[in-house]
Amino acid sequence: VNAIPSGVPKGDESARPRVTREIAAEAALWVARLHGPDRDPAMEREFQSWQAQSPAHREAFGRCTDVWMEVPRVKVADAYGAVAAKRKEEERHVSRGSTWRWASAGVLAVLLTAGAMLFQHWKSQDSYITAIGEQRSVVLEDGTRMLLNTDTHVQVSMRPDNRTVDVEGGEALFEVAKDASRPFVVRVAGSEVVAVGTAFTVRYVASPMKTNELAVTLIEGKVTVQPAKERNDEGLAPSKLLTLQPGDRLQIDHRDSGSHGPGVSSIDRPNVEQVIAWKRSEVVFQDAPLAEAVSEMNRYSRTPVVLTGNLPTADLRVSGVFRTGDNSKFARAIAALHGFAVRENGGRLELENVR
Amino acid sequence: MLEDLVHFDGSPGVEDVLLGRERLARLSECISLLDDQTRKILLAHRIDGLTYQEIARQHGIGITSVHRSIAKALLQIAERMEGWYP
Repeated sequence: VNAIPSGVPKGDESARPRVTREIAAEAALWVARLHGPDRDPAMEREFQSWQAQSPAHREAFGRCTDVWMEVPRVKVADAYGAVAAKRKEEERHVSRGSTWRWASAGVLAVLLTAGAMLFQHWKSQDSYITAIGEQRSVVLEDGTRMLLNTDTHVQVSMRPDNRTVDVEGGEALFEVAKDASRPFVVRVAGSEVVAVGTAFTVRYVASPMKTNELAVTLIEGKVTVQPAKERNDEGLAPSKLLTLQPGDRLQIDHRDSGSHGPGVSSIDRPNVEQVIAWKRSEVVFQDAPLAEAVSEMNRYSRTPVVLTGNLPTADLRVSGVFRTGDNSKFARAIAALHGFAVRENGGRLELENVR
Repeated sequence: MLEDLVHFDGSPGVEDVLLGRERLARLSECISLLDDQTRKILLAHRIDGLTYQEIARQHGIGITSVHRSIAKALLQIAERMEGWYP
């Protein structure tokens, strides 16, 4: 992500918004509330007006969200590591006091495991949905971690002989727990991705610019993909099984309608950091067509950026790193770069040519 | 078909790719510096996937206290990670 060649800068460090204690505390509470059970449209509206107050509010919320997103990546043992080291130091002086504290860390682990197991029984089949702008991390009963990006819907089914996740749409990252007796199958748009112990992402997002496109990116390990059956005059023909190497991205075009099924598939090797930039609530563009960049940004926001008719969009390209959901900053950056104006109109950000 | 697929490459690297190793180490340290109850509630929610209601029941506290604990955890971690104010 450091190697962004040109274009819109990520943000001037000297102009970094000043987050105060009060703003930070409010931001943390917002993250906790929005991920809690009481979230409703009224709360979302209240949040929108809170975060509209200043860039510092949005910065604080963004960073607290980062922490919220990243916590599941930490190994529980490490989360106690520094404490353990510190207490070992203290133990030399007060050898008794720390003993039960050590013991209590062990008990906690047992309690949490028991809780998690209880959880499994009624969670063996469930659906998980994220709203626009939301991300969600889910740990499945087998230890597989699933990170859902904005506007994503998946259905999980855990059975004794297989593990299946149906992705109805959106984007998800999987870190599959190894279990040789139960293949892990992700079904999306008629294609099947099969893994045993591996990390990969799938993405199936409707795009106004192109045909819908399914993308599977393998980060580590090995997966095979059985693309959706192609339809032709002779009827159904079995499609070829594809094996991906780490770093490979398989893309399959899906036409919305028509007599043909999924079309051309291709494998390329993108910058994996960029593909999973959404994990850090970032979108990375490298010489991307403007229209494509706009549609990507709009996935994360209910305030869409709209290109008005008089823009020479065909030739315009975008490079840079943007925060997901910050469409207003994105629109302003594009406007500044190309000499456009941004007009807020009925909940939309319209880019227009003023030259 | 599935028999062919039992290939597992267990080499490390996922964590490194997804989140810088250094940042992860700092994050672990910040979590370890939380008080016991706050950390317990944060990890129960984010690592074990328990809902606020389940955590409230387990600890015999109200939902609002769970909100506050999660918020407190995020705030203290973010403050240490970001160094917002001098």
